[in-house]
Amino acid sequence: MPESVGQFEQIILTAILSLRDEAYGVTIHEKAVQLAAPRNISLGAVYVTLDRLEDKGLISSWLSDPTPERGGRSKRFYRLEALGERALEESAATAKRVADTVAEIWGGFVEGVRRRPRWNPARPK
Amino acid sequence: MESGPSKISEAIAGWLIPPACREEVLGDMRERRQRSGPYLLEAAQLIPCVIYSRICRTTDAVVALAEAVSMYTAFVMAAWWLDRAALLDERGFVRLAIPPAIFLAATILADAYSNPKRRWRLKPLFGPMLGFALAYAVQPVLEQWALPASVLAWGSGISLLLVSTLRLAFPPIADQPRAANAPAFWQKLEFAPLPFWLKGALFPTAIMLVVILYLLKK
Repeated sequence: MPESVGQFEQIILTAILSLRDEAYGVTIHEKAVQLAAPRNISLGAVYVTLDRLEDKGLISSWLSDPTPERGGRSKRFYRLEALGERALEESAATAKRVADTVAEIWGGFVEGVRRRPRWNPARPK
Repeated sequence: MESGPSKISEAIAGWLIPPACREEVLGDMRERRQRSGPYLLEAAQLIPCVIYSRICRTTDAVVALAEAVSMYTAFVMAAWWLDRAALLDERGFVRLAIPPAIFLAATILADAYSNPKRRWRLKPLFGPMLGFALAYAVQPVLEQWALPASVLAWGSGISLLLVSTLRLAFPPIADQPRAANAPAFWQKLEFAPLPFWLKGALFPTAIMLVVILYLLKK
């Protein structure tokens, strides 16, 4: 059974998946901010989560060659491991089921805001 | 002219970031912030998270707990044999916890800031030695919370011996060899759930200990 991941870990894993070979600290943070909008995400929280995911064996990392625009410093690139892919697949499927159930009851979302209720059960007396 | 934050601000940030992740974190910060003010502001937000993350990676909770218990026991035993009045006064047990806390904090920080590229045989002992020096250095500042010299000397000596043995038997996680892609997670010791009989025995034992201490104080 794959490792279960939280919502923030799911965002970071999705960011790494979508960035493919360009997934390093700065780009992962930018993508995570897009995915988590309107919530703000700090770069520090991204580093903490990346370290935790690496310790769980869901992602792996390596250092690139130094680049001049970074003051001659290297980038640490990340990629999903097989365990991470399975964990993301499972959490995405769960999120989809939750979203479908909520949409079925509330009639979906318009720009993140719930639409008028289609079904409203009466309170038991 | 070269753009980017000033050399001083980069040097300060570089000094505070643990060496294991210094390269990529400084590079990322340089890529995001080109001026010194925003660079330092981001460093102030980022560095505590990086240190916390590094501590989580390098500290084994079970070994740290074993170190804390053995050090505290060493100080309590030293006070028991050498200066029982220091142990049984109002803040005796709290006073005895201060040097082990300094020891432990220094050891944890030394592990977090150790450079994984540099390996030497006695490296696991650097943290306890630093803690030992710090525990002595802060004694004059503590005033009435300071320990008698003999208790501090014996407690520190026995603590150093116990912690060094523990650390040589269970080296810090950062110093253990890692296979390619093998997660450090698997190398950590996990808390095993306590068996039922032990849970049942803990509470009466704790009560008995409190009663014994109370009777001794009387």
